[in-house]
Amino acid sequence: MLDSERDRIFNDWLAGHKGILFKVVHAYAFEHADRQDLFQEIVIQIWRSVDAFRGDSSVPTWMYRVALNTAIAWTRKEDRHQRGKQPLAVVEGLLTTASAAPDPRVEWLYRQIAQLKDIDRSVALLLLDGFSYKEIAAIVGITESNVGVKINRIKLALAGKRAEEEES
Amino acid sequence: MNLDDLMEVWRSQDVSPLHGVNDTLLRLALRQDEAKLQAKWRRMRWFNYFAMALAVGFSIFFLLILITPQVPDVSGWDYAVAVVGVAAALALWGRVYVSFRAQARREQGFGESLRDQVNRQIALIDPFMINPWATRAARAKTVPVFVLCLVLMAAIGFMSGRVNEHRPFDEAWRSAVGVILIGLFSGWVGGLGLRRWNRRIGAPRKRRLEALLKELDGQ
Repeated sequence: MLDSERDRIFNDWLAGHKGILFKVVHAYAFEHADRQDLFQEIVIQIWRSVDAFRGDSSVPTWMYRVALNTAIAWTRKEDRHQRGKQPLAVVEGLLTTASAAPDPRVEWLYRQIAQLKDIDRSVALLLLDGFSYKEIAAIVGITESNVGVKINRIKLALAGKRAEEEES
Repeated sequence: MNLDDLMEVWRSQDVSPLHGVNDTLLRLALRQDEAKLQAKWRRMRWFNYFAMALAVGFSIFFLLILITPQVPDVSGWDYAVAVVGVAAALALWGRVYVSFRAQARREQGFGESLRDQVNRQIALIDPFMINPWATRAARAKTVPVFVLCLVLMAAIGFMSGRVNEHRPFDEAWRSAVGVILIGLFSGWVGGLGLRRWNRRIGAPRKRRLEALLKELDGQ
């Protein structure tokens, strides 16, 4: 593939679906510097994946897949960094903060998602973005029935937390 | 608040995203990555060329030794040692090349799901985690490489003893022993380094990846 063609496809993907990347970054990284680092890692992996995209799935599905795979791997890498006490290379400013204040309900959702395990977090993101059980199963690599079990658990956790907060 | 309400809240991010992207820095990051990736491929290509050049270099080296008039009493056995040395160098290069190709094929064999990604990462770590002498299967891979290295080092030591020190044929083995000892010591130091990497990075990483696989399968 020509570089210009790859540039064009990547720009189209980013223009149309960059929200997916923001969501994954927010669900897997919690500090500003970590979000910059993870976002950079994800866009690089998306950029590299352009050549491998064959159109078997939709572009958002593909982007979610690459972004989640990267975020899971990044979490592991982050653990290593912390264990080895090595400073993270941070590119400041690649990800800019929106001027409008974030919706508190969205922030609440992210807080709840952050408390889930790595895989459940991926399932929760895909569920909230309207992916079917079948699509989630294909992206994550588990059976549809397992997706169903995980989703029920996530729904119960969210509902429980909501009820708990409404009571207090 | 039911799931539909949550999904509606979630989708509000599509209208007013939490972030924007600095396009200039993004281009820069991508260009840097492209350059890094190309440099990596270039290094791998050069490593391959270097290994091949080394094998061919040894062949020429042995040949030159045998036709150099300073070496006294060149016999058929000298030629035999040279041929064996060249064969060992070529076989080692072939082994390195085949293992590179096999690793690349293994990596391509995985799919694109999260599970495949985790399995792929485990497959990347595994070759470094296995004790090369622990199992019969591991030994079947290690022993030929070990023997080839010994043969190559012995041939190099032997020929350099014949050329540099003008040792007679039946004493040149002393030089071979010296080179083999240096090679074994280097291998031992390399093995210690690998064990340290396994203990500090490889094993914990594999444990976490396996935990992730369990999480995938967990109900």
